Amino acid sequence: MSEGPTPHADHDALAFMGAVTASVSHDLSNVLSTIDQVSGLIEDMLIAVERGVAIDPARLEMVQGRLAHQTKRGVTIVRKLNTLGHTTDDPVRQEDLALVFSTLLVLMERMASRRRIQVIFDPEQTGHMVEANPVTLYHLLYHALLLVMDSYSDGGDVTLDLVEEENSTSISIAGHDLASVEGGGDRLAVIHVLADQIGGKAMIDADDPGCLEVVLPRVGGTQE
Amino acid sequence: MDEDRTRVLLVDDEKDFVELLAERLAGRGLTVDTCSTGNEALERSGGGNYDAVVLDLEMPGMDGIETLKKLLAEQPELQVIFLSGRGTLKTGIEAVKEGALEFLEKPADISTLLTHIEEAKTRRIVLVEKRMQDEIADVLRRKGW
Repeated sequence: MSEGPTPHADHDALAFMGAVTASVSHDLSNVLSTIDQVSGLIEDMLIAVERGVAIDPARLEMVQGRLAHQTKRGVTIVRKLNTLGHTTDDPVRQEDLALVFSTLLVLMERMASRRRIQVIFDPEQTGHMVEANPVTLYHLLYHALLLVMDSYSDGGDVTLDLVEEENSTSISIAGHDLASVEGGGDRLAVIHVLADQIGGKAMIDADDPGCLEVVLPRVGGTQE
Repeated sequence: MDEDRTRVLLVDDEKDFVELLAERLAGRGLTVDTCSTGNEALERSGGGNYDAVVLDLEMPGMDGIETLKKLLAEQPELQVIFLSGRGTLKTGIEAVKEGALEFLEKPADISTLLTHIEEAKTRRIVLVEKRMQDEIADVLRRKGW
């Protein structure tokens, strides 16, 4: 499944949903497989008990901890996937960028981990509201994040920051050297098109070749 | 180390999964080591220590198929079983074409996995013995004995 943009705009929105759901289904499969191993280990313990072997409470505590962790992880993924699914509900609505990124970062966790990328983002940066087609907004920010993740050949930090300006919100996604990304020009062109569709723009920071800046009109701002 | 014990290396970046599976396999009499990347798998298996390597397909850095190719280039007799949550017919066929013994989809039943691990051990022993016989035959031929 291709994670990057395809040459066909109509297909690309579907490809974005496909890439995300394929990646997330892999994560969910891992969650369920781990829960399956927990179940198997408990079964092993019960067989041992039937044979008169005492169970170490520390082992039980370890098993319970892993079960709780994986359940929480699975619930988080499913909730975020549900949020993405509901982006098709309205043609236009207001979205809080912090919540959009919180959702995308969970859904893109495997894509980041495969690239050894750590995304640094403060989810408390709430209140940056954008009015847009939700699918286009998620699609745009997905490609923007993925492009910057791909600026590293073997892992690194991607720093995500939201800055309120007079009429807009500036999203800064900083990684390594964006000029080094394979097919970067075509991918940036797709990002430009998507940003344009919601009245925004995207550019590589003139002072930092590793930083992609996406500027979107903010709710309450005066349209230029 | 008990020479008769089946030795397995589990390679998967899902820490909880790999540790739980390792504990269950160890409880069934296997000697089990774990690691989370392809590079670690190459380092660990360098000495021909394992009867089977159970490998995930998608990992940080080197992916499972690339790891398989490198493992088999270094140790042609090594037996690799894929165990992945990203199972598709295409990737399964590719893995087997590249030399994997089996491609299992998570969650896999532990008895199924054990059967394949034992099959891997038997196959590896046969291949090692064949190589040794070929080497002896080659020496005898070259020396003209």
